[in-house]
Amino acid sequence: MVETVATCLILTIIMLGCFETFSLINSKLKVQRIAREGAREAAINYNGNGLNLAKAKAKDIADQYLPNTNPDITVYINKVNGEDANVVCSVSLDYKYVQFLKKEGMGGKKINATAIYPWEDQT
Amino acid sequence: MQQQYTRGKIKLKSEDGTVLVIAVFLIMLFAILFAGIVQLGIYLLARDQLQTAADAAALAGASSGTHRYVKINVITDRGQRTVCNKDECWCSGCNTISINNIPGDEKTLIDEGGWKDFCVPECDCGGGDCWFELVDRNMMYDTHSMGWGVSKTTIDNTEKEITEAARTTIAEYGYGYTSTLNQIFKNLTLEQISTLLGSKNKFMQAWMNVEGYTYNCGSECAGDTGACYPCEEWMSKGDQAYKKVSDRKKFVDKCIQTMSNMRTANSRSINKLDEEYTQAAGRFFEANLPKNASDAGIQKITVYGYDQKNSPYYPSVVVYATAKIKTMFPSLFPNDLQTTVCASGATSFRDADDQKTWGNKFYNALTGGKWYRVPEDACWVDW
Repeated sequence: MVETVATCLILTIIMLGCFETFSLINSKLKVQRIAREGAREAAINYNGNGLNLAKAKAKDIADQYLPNTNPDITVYINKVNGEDANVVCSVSLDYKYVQFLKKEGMGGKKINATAIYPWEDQT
Repeated sequence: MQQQYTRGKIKLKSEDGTVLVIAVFLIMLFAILFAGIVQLGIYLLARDQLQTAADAAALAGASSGTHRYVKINVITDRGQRTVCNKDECWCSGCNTISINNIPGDEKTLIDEGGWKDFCVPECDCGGGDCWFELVDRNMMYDTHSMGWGVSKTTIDNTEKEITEAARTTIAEYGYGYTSTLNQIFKNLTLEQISTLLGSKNKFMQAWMNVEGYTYNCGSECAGDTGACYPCEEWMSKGDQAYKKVSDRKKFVDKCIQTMSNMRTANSRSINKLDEEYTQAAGRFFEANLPKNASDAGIQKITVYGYDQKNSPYYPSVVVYATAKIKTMFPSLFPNDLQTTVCASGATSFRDADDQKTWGNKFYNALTGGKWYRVPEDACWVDW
């Protein structure tokens, strides 16, 4: 009986570990994709309103991929010699461990992703 | 007394410890599952980061050295001109001048208003108008400058077209002296026209030569040949004509610069451009280099440029990138898993024919019309 309980406990912990790891990896993947799509949107909408569009798009994707997490999204242009050189989309998410047990989680870590895309300027 | 159990021919005294065996088995199974999840996660994450890098590289390629090349007609309705008889003067319709098939990049020629340089001045009663019509528009990559069809002959022909347009513009600008100015500038290159417009002495020499007079009427006024007065009158006309057209030098110099830029772009070697192009893609690949992979690099870049205009993948750039992903549990999974991703970056521009359905009289940058058909995704087509 004791063996069974102990075994179940260990197995449950391992399963929760698997689940949590899967969830963490999934969040990392989603954060990476949000950064990529945001930067891409900014890059292809080079005519003035690109940054706002990029931020809106990144936020939309974040709402779909990671609902209710509200990651911090920053989109800005890097300038080289005073000229627009590239666009950067950074996404930062406060990942909370074991949120399925406790809503506010038990500790956590920051997941960051950055995508650097060219600023398209056709002649 | 312990009860005896029989299983097959083996007699077991007890089932104590069986849970432990099952537990060890399950724990090992779950541990492998855990390792698998972690390894799969690392693989997916590295692959996703590689995808971001390849995507940025493809877009850098698709936006690096791209040109929207256009051909336009510039039409000037010269408004009205003064027509007089012995009793009165009135305004009457002046002519319309069309300079056709002017090639150039859209940014300079249309967006920055370069087309206005091909407008000729309105006639003296005013009321004129100048606009441009779009003839054609194409997207070109610098990498294919030698394959654009812009051969040296084409460039030479373009220069001839621009020179002819410049001659017409200047001659019309010097309204009242158009015929003589046409004679002066006939067969001259843009550089020669610029020299004439930049030097009054040289212009006057050419002007006097048209009627066979000497410069400053030196011979004609030396003796009493009766040619002094008509010569001086002709010289005075030349002076007025020069005042009218000399400020067109800037326009001619701009034409010279345009041609020079076009020739420079066209004379680059393909290798050099490929190198520049690869560098552009490579820079953005490096900037997004996957953190969870090693030996990441671009394997192949395919450009669907103007020379493949009829391809469903024109205009786009495709990047194939590979990376090795380190294994955290080498005893369980093969070491250095390799992954390849593909990214396609399309360059978009507005369809010229669709633009024309909205009218073909333009004054400003062209922002209407449908986008040119979006190229199909060319990923893995030529891998």
